[in-house]
Amino acid sequence: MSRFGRIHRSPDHFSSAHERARARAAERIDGPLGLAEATWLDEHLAGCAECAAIAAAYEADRQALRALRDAQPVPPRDLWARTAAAIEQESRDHGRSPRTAGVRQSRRVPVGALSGLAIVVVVVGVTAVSGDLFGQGASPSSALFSASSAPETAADIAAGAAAAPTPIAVGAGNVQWLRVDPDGSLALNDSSIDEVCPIDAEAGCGVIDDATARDIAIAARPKTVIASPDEAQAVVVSGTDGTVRVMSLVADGGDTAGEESTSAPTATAATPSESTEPSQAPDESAAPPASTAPDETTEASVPPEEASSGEPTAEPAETPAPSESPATSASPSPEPTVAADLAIASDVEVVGSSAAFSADGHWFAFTARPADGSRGPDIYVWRVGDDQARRLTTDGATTFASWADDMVVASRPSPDEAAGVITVTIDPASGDEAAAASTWRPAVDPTGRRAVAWAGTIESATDGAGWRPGDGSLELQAWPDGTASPIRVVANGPITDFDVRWDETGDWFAVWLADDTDPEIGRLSLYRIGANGRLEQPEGAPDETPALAGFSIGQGRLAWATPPGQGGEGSRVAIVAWTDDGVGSVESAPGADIVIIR
Amino acid sequence: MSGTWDRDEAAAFVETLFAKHQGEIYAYLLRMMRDPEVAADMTQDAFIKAYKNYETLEKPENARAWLYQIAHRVALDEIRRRKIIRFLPWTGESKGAAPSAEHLVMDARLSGDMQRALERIPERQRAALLLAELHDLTGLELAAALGVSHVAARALLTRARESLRQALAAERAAEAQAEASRDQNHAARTDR
Repeated sequence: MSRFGRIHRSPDHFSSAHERARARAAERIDGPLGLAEATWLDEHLAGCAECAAIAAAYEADRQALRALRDAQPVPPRDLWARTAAAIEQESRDHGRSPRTAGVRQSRRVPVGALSGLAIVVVVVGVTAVSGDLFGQGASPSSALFSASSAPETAADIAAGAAAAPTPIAVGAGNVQWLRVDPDGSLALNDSSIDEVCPIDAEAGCGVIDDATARDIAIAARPKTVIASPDEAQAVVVSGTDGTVRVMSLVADGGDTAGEESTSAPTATAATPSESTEPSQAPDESAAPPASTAPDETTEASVPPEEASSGEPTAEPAETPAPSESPATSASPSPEPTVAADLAIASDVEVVGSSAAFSADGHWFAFTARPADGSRGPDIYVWRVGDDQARRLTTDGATTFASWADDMVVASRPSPDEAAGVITVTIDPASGDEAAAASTWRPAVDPTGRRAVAWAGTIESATDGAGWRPGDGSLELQAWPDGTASPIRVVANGPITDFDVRWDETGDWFAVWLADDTDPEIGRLSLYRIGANGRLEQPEGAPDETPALAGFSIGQGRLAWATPPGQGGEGSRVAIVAWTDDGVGSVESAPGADIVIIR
Repeated sequence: MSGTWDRDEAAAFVETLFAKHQGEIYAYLLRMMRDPEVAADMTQDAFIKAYKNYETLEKPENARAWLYQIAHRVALDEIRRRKIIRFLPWTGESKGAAPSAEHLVMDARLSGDMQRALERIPERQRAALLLAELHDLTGLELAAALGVSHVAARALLTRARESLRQALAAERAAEAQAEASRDQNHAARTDR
């Protein structure tokens, strides 16, 4: 029986070949070794009688120990009577459980049953770095709760008949998201969150008001949107045309996203001049820009033979020629704001969900592979102001994990199969690498002291696009020396995929674990680092709450999109906010086809 | 298990757990403590703790590993409380009733060099071996029961196998030496 997956320890961790052989011989009893290590072990044992004898002893000792299974002791017959009486006494001594009065509200639904619903949800929220995505000062201080304004929904009206719970005041901050309307048009919602409902409120605390939404148009239907720390632009991963685009989030004249605007956007530093001109939405049906040879100045690290026609292009892609936008023609007024956008990568398939801006906002990193699947994933970096992203790694086997200060944290399988995983830090400018850890995809906190990482084996993803966790667990560890501090297990495998994000303080993080049947749906949990590094889940914090992929955390808020289908409704934007006094929540009204951002 | 912590629900759940797992939990604690009476008391204690900590069980499918984790902690606490590191010596004179036939059979099996070797190794390594080889816990269950990461559990088990090998070798060497000494004394008496 294989109790464990493949091992990770590198051969150079042993002081001698004999020590290595004995350790491997013991390890092989509980799980398979990698092919290379197993071959090495067999060859060593064939030539080392002493090690072979020890390996045989391990197996013989094991059999001797397992022989004890034949003698199964029988517990005393009155053991249950004694135990039941003790439990009853325990119950009487403590009366009603104190936990009954205030439990976590866990909304468990069979995620798998939801997976058949293909609604795409886009949430634009506060960034992990800056929290407030589009700024606070210029944002409209829209009313968030029906409870503090006129009731707008039937539920609000019904709830209004009863005494409304007192909302919890939280620090100022905005949450934004996109909504995809049935005609394909997009609306950017911006809501200031300064009050949330008490977690034990049963009803009537109102819903998020999205009346401040403004129409926008970008050249591709977004799958994921990540805002820059300076809130001026966002990187949009297309779900349809294999592009990664940068769009301006600042309307002309400095208007922020929360206000109705018909003006053209201000070009960002990353936006080439040709992209600033259109005043109408590019036609989404337009063919993607043709691939061209990579720019030598940005793809210098790519071997020439790899720059084939199958390669994703890093050439700045011209914004498709403006054409009449369905959104424009279908929308009588106001005219949509056109977000100037620039394709920084084309003909790629973005892999995983850990794309992010660096803390200083100067770089953006993501993992992608050619859209034709001709090679494995590599890390791409885009320096704000450049026309295109460039491929930072070239081995076709590296995945972006997170940022540690201004360094890219990257994970890849070890060239030595038995050694498992290598995580390195890479200078995004020079490409210089340094070994960092032996865990997979560590999400390093903003202080650079901790990381949540996969400790275990990895295996090829079923779609061939990279790797997925194998046998092991998701752990909170010290960074980068993961073994030097108490390890806290966040989740045990098997896990299909995960997304971990920290708030700006490094005290809170959220973990999203993908459902094994639908990678777009999963469960979201919020954690706090307590005293002595203990993991805590405050009452009211999401705990394996169903959520679509993509969430934002920061400024004391966690925002995500609920999967459609719960109660027969569409997706909602759900927000949990916390203060020293507690945790509260608020939701948007269900949307037919709400869109995505993070 | 997140959700409303209901006493009746918890009691019913623990009763189901008891019916399903009492035998193996008792066996594990007996193998750790080597005293039937103590093992019975600790089994009872483990299920009471399961009742009291019902809300910490995240998923029902993890109940077995969760129960072993509780039992393991109960055992370690008791070992530390008694300031014993090794197995209690089997005297055949437990408090109360005389040992059952099963206990005697088990003791006979454990009373040889394997028992003494197990006594020699650290209790966490001993627990890892017992849980893995006699209780068939998977790697993840073992990690959960021991309260360590999956990687640490495997490393612990690897160290335990080496510790057991060395301890068994030491026991056998000591036994051989004692045998030789007995033969020497016998020869000396014969010579007289």
